[in-house]
Amino acid sequence: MLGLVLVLLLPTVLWLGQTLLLYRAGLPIRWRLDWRDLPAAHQAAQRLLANVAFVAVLAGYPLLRGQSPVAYYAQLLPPGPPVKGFITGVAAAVVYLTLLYAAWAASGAASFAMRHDWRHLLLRLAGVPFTAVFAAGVEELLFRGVLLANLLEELPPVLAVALGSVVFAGAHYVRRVKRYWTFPGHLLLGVLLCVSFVWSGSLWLPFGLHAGGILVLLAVRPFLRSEGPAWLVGASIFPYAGALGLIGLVLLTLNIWIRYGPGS
Amino acid sequence: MSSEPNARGVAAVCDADDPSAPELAGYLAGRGDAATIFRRRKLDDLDRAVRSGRVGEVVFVSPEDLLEAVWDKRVDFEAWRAARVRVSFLRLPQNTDELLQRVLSCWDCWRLRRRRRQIVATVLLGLAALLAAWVLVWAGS
Repeated sequence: MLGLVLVLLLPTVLWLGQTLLLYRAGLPIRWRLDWRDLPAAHQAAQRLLANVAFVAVLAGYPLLRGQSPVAYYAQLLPPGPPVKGFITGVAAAVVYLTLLYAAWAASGAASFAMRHDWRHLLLRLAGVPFTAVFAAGVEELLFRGVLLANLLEELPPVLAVALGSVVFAGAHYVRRVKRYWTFPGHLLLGVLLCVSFVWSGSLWLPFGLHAGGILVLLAVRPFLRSEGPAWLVGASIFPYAGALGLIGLVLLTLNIWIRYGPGS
Repeated sequence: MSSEPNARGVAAVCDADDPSAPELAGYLAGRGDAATIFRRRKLDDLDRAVRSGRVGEVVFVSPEDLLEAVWDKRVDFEAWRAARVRVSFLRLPQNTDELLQRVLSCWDCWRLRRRRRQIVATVLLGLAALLAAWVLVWAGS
């Protein structure tokens, strides 16, 4: 359970850092992780602490097991044919999400318009692939590379996937968020990414799925305005949280099972 | 909309390169108001400013600007009414027939523009899905 302990240590460390900074800024202490009203310098300090804590967990887990971090993560991201899993993952996520958005565009459940000037938009879109790869990479290393890989050593796969998915989904709600009804969407997303790791045997496939998803969400976001009922089409950057998105996640998980599951 | 004195700020909606910009600037200067100018593309920001209570009056060049923003759901007009925001227009038709004609014409233009946007979005998203499907088949082969 070393992986679980280290992952749970992250919000604890962040909360302690936040508490110290709130105290120093003369602000009331709070339970929820939310440092947006801290002075800019304190916010920068908290972001630095978050980055250091992430790196410490990612490097600390293999080190505590007596392995070098490079060797540990290299075995989870093997070269050769498994790399195709990344491409497959990106393409599959793009197919599902773009079809979902296309259906909303055609049905009027969402409207699309230019909401920024070209310069601002191009700058924003240029950074999207990097953000997608970086964000998906960090989360996959942490939630699948550290947490799930460790759970799989100690629990039956079904339990490991269930616990790994719950922690993954819960992690998206540790900080203050606008909405909580999106939790089932995150939970199913967690299941998809966890089983992708288990069935494919490497991080490439969940990494690709995750990066492809973020890529589409961030690329579409500047143009999109959801107009359909939230229970059906989700909200903002959570299209997979609506009923159609949940169905999409289940179908994609089935696809992954057919392609990578036992006996495939 | 409200007859109370306005302690909150004044905002105006106009693009910098709009032919009406000088006229609007003159109108605001004549009233002695230092208004914050929002471009038409930044109406979401104006809506946030109104709903946060920072803006108490909004001057539009014409009713069409407000109508399109409401139809695009970029302005929550019910929230504006609840916030007792005063809305005024630089150019407002004096007779009802002309006003009605302009509203209908604006509605037609807006629907056409929206349909075009939906078609473009659907085609682009469909193309992205096709390309990704091709990659998927290629990667699986």
